[in-house]
Amino acid sequence: MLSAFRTGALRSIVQGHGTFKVLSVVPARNASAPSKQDRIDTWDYVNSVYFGPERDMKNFPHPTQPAQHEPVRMGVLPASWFEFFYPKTGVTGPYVFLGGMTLWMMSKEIMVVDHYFWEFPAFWAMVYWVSTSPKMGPKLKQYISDKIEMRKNILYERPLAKMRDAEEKNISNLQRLLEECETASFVNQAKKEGVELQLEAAYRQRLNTAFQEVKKRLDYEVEITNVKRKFEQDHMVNWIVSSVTKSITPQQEKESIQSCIQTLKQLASKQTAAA
Amino acid sequence: MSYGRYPREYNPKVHGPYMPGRYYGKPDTPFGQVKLGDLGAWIGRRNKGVDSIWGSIHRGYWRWASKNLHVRTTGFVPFGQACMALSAFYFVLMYGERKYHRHCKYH
Repeated sequence: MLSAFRTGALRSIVQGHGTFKVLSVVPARNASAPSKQDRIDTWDYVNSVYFGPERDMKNFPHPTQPAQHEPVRMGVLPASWFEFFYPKTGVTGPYVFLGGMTLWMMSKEIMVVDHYFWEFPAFWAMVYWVSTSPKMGPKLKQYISDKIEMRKNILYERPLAKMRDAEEKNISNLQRLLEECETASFVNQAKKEGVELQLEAAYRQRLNTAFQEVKKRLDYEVEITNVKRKFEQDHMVNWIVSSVTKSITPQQEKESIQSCIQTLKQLASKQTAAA
Repeated sequence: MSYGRYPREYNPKVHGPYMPGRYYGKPDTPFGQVKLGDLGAWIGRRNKGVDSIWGSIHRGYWRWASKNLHVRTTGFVPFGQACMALSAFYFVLMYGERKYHRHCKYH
């Protein structure tokens, strides 16, 4: 019971949704309710019976619903009765028959003028008065046509529209499902491409890492070589300078100062000669 | 006994959907086209069983209803006709009682 309510079968009955909706959600194990396919099969079978090759459409045409009652005379009497008289009695025949019949019945007192008698003319006079009165007639007609319209709406148009809406919704849902199924292959492709991109990114990352590592090592080698050379140079220069400094004796120093003074004197004499 | 069943002559493969107002038997001359001299023979050819009479009443009602009552926009006409029929019915029903109200003894 509850599971039926959950599937929507009962709920749609309670809420007054169309039977079509109910049909579409009734599970297959529910053997008592005919499935959609059963209904289609029945429909096809009935069509094959009613519109088969043996069908005599000429003598037994399909029933149709007329828009209005058949034509009448004098308010209610069918015109076909009058036409029944025409070939035998002429146009005035039915009226003569009616009037004559009434007169005969009254003169023989088959129709007795008693207290029941006036009910008939009174009733029809009232009907005539109401239907031809300019105030009541149109109002009554409007009221009745509104009622008929409402009834038609409730019994025919609204359920049909409901079914159509439900079915359109169903169709759009299925369409959506179809689209989703179609996109599934693209999703697969997109995932594949994503994975390939990730692989590519990882590969490039590793290439970069390898490059950086090699560069670091090479830079280290270069640095080591530079430092070694610089140290050697510095050491060489220091060593040469210190050994040169050590090798100078006080005698040599004196001589060099002497030669310097000599040179200065020569320069000074040259300067005065030029002046 | 054909009570509650389709008429024996009705064949959906030939006649299509069942219309209760239609006669599916072999058609005779319509009543309106019968010559007065042939009227006796015409009446003699009719079935007078209970089934047939009930069937003809039933068909007549459905023929009338499908033409006047079960139309798309039903007006006053079928109800007026029903009033007329009721009047006629009660006229017959109460005739025995009403004839005591006659005003004249001799006609």
